[in-house]
Amino acid sequence: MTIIPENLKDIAKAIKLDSERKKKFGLSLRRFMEASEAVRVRQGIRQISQSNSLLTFFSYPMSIFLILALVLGAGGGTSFAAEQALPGDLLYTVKVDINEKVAAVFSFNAEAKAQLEARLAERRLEEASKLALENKLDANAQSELSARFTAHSQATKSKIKNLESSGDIRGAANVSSEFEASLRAHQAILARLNATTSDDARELSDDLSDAISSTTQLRVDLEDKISVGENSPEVKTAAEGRLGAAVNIIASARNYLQNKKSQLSASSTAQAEGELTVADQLVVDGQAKVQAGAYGDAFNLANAAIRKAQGVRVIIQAQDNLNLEIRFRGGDNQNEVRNNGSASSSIDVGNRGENEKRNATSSNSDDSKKSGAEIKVEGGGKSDLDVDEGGGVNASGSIKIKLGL
Amino acid sequence: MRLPKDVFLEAYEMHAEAIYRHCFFRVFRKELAEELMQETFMKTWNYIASGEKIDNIRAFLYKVATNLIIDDSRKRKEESLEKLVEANPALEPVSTDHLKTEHDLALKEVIATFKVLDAETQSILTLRYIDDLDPKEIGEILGLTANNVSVKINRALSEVKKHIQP
Repeated sequence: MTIIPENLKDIAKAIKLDSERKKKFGLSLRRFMEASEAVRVRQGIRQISQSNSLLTFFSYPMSIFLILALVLGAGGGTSFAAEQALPGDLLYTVKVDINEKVAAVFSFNAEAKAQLEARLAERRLEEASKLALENKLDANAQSELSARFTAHSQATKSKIKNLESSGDIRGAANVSSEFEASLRAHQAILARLNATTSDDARELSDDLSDAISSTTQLRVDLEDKISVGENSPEVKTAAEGRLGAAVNIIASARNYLQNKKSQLSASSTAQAEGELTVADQLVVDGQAKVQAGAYGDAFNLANAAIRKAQGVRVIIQAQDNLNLEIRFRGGDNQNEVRNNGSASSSIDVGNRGENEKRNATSSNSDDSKKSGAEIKVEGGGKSDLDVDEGGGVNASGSIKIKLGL
Repeated sequence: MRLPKDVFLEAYEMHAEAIYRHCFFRVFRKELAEELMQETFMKTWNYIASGEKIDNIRAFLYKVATNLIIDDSRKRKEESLEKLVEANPALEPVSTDHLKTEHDLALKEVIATFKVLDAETQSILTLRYIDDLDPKEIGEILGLTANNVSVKINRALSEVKKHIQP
């Protein structure tokens, strides 16, 4: 052979990193990052922990993972691994019976407890999504998830009501508003995954719809009370604080969208930006209410803005996870799926855009196969979700999700 | 402003395969190359998470990988070329339908040639001809000047010539 063959680089490309393994290592890497972050936090905590400040620290809603890290420390390997478990996995019981119970023990105030129940309900929906993606959301899994979801969602409502009766009506409104936004976003995601149309999935779908209705009702009732409530300086401070939080959450969602832009279709991005623009306007309206002295209304508008931003964020996050999976699956399926509009009336849809086919975007591989797969979900005008997928070794897919609130 | 975590994970998406391939052309074992690749990213993350800034993450990754490979080779005995090439199915190209037959042979020849070189020569040749980095970047990775690297590349090529033209 010549000293170095001219196309050595191409020959060497035969040594590939299998995309499944790449994905798998990517997940391990993320877990590693979380775990080492938790250790760092824990070390930081140690320095301030000998006093009451630890109690204060645990009074804020914390991620379950972080709680575990703080409690279990370096020996918590199994628990950390269990966080990724799904119904059917061996570690699932560790996740729900141990990890989540540990987290409950370390929620020290009423608001944290309510937030935790909401988070647990949300986790059941995330699990359903992951199973649906793998076509493993069978009758058993679905039934179990349904039961657990319902239990948590009812506990959430009950804790929200406790918050209200203990005098913290704004805390109650916050939790119910966030819960509502999260439920709606997950409903859209599950619908896109066609997880809610089969007979098997009816139970979960119904439970989710019920939860959305009752949470929305709860939120509306609380907001009505806040709206007609006193306009004291305390409420003013709360409203300004919540508006400030809304600004941050919108900015964070916008940032997130910016980072993930390359994985989204143009119309999906435009949709999300539209939602965030509406959120911006709600904040502006809220600020006007503060000026006008209607602090209760201002507070409610802040929560409306947060719901918008939160919805965008949850959807993109799911797309991020799902897209990772879709991308690595490659485009070998041609599926057309009909969604019979099991979404509740709470999700409005604008006009359907035409499907956009995305080409494989990777530039350097000659041997990528370009096969397009289209998954269309058509609904009864309630929730329309388009998915385009470009398949191939190095292709990227995209999901367009239309969501109006 | 983007979070370090997102920037880092993006770097993983972009460079994981290249780092893996680099490791493979140094150790010729699939599982070991995968481990070294993972360890490269984990060490890099620890560095970032401790607050350090990295200007050129690609170069940094290669640097970490190079050092890990050196550490690893100190722990391992050399295995015979024959055993490696014959017994290791990982040496079979993953997507054979994309390669014409002569590529398979060429790959085996390359591997055989690389295997008999010393570590530094192997490293330089891999960085230059497989990772396709230029002498300046290689210099960043190995802590040398670009000139120094060019000299070493020429020496490496002479070394290869010696082996294939006895």
